[in-house]
Amino acid sequence: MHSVTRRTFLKTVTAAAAGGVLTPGLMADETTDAVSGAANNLRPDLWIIKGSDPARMLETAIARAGGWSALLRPGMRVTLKPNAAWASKPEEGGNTHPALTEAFTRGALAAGAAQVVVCENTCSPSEQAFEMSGIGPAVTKAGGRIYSPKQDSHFRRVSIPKGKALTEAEVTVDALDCDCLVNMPVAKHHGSATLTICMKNWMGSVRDRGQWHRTNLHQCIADFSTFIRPTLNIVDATRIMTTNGPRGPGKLLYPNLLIVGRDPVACDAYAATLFGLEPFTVPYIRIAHEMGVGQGDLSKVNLVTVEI
Amino acid sequence: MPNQPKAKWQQRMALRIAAFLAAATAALGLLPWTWSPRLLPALSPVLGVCGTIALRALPWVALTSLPLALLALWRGRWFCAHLCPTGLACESIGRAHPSGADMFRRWPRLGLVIFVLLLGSAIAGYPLALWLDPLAMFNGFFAAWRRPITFAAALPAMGFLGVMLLSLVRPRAWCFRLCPLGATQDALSQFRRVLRRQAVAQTAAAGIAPTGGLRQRAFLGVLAGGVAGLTLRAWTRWSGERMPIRPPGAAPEHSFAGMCARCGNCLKVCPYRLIVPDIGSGGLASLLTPVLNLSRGHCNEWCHACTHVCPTGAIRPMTLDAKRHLAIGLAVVSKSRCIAWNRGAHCLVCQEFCPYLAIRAVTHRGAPCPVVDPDMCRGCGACQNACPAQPERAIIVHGIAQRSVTALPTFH
Repeated sequence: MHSVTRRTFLKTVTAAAAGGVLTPGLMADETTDAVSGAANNLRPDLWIIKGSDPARMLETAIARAGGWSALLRPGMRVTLKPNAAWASKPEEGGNTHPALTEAFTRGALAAGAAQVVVCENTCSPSEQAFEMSGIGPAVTKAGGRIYSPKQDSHFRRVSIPKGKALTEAEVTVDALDCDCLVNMPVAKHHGSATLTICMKNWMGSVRDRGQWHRTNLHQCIADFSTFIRPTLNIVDATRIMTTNGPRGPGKLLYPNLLIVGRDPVACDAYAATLFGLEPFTVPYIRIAHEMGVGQGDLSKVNLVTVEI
Repeated sequence: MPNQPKAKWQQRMALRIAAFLAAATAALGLLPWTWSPRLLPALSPVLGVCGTIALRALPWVALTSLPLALLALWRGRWFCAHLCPTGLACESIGRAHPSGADMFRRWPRLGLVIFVLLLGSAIAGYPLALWLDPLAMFNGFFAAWRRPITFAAALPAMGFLGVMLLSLVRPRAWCFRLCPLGATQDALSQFRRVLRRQAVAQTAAAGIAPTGGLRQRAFLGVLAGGVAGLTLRAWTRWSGERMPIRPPGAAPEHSFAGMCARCGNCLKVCPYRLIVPDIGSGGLASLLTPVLNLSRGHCNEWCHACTHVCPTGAIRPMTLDAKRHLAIGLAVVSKSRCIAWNRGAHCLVCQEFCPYLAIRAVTHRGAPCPVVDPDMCRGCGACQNACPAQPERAIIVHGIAQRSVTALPTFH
């Protein structure tokens, strides 16, 4: 693993915290610096949490990323974006582990969040997806609200100024109008995108996914990440589906990891290695890196491994 | 009725109204059990007897008609006068036309003709018109009212409305001259009388024509029904350029349209509103039978609701596991419309949405392109609904003869 000096660690934590927390608007035009080519010069931090209990791993992840106080302030509206797209069971690895969503929702509310909303434009019928994935009951039990956007009022059309193939999209209002946006995908194989991790997960927050497929999928995935800037990415790699993704059932590996970071490209790049892939062979990771969305070169990432 | 003591008439009326309300409750699907919608039409021996004969098997649901058959053996048309909800509706509507009360008497007893034709065609494996059953019609009328109310969805209500219209013009004609359920009860009570030699001797002694003539006519009727049934059976096999997609567990296509009583149950219970009455794709014989319109959504992999409500056995009950291994159709990719095959887009949304791992990806000019594995495809239509190709989807499910296919592998 890459060694981290105390100095660079502090520097990047401060920089990332400034980008993520102090400008919670998440709009591309408000966080120009973080999205511009300058991002590639940054040495983003990536925390790799290894363990067996998802809830404890999540607490550790938040603590490492600066604690709840660095993520949100009391009264903030929090939106969590897990992958809850499929009517498949937690052990199949098609969705984010429900224990993670529950621990996050509970922690965020305890830290003073005004609300925690999970908004997922599911692929399977939403009731089934929420129920079978366990995410519906988990979020509700922890005090959060979960729903699948279906009406016009659930979406707003936005322009994506830096987009090359995707110049506008209808995005869920909860992803747009929140104070703290946390991306919590599961890492898995994907038939057309090769892998789906952080950046690809946002397809669950847009209305017309088909448009992305029709107009250069990989470019669209990267384009959208020039626009949406989550406060934190928490990748569920407790078990990863390595074939037949994204729905499965497929062959599973059990890395027992959470990959946590503010840079989605770095998170995706690291997760790609779990599948035995060189990150830049995944087209959208390479494109996003080249567009300056984040750091896809793992030699330029500060990796911090934590075992619990 | 005027000859009866008033109290007795009131008692009977109370019973009839209670039976009507109970029937309506069952038909509306207000009872909590999944199988309750099939209860009312399954009571009818018309469906029970003809369905069993045509299926060459005794489905459990056919036993539901046993009480009514036994009742008819002993008491003839007791059911008609005391319990039949359609009968009550006919009679009530007929009161609007008191001068027409006896006009039906000039009509021949067509109900018996219908009954023997049904019997004969059932023996041939294709009951001609099970949908003439009054309980199935009643059920269809109440089952049709579900949102959204469309012309097609309301079609199963037409039989009952037709009977009501007839009752307005010719009161009691339906019950006493046309109804196959009434005729079945007549036949059953006759059958008992024939069994008792004494009664036969009595009728002969009274100078009434011996039953021989009736037997001959009945035999001819059964024969005619058989020929008609066989003709229709062969015709449905030959007609129609495209096989309709039937609900899971449907009887083979050559007998399905005959077996179906058009009761509307499967249409009503489909939570995704995929099952619609056929208005043309399967030919005339298939009119108003259930077909799946997979452009409305996909046949959900966790649902087998429609297999538990059929009163005739046209759709056999299936466990969820059996249904998940049953192919009701086959997805076909159009390479000219597919954006992966046609212009190299990274799409494969069909593979993404397929619940059964039935789409394999092959690389064609650098892009992953979909190929359907017929051993895995269930024809559920998940791919068809997700396909982003425009203006026309590039993967469409076609109807096939239903068959079992390979199980999904397990990985954990």
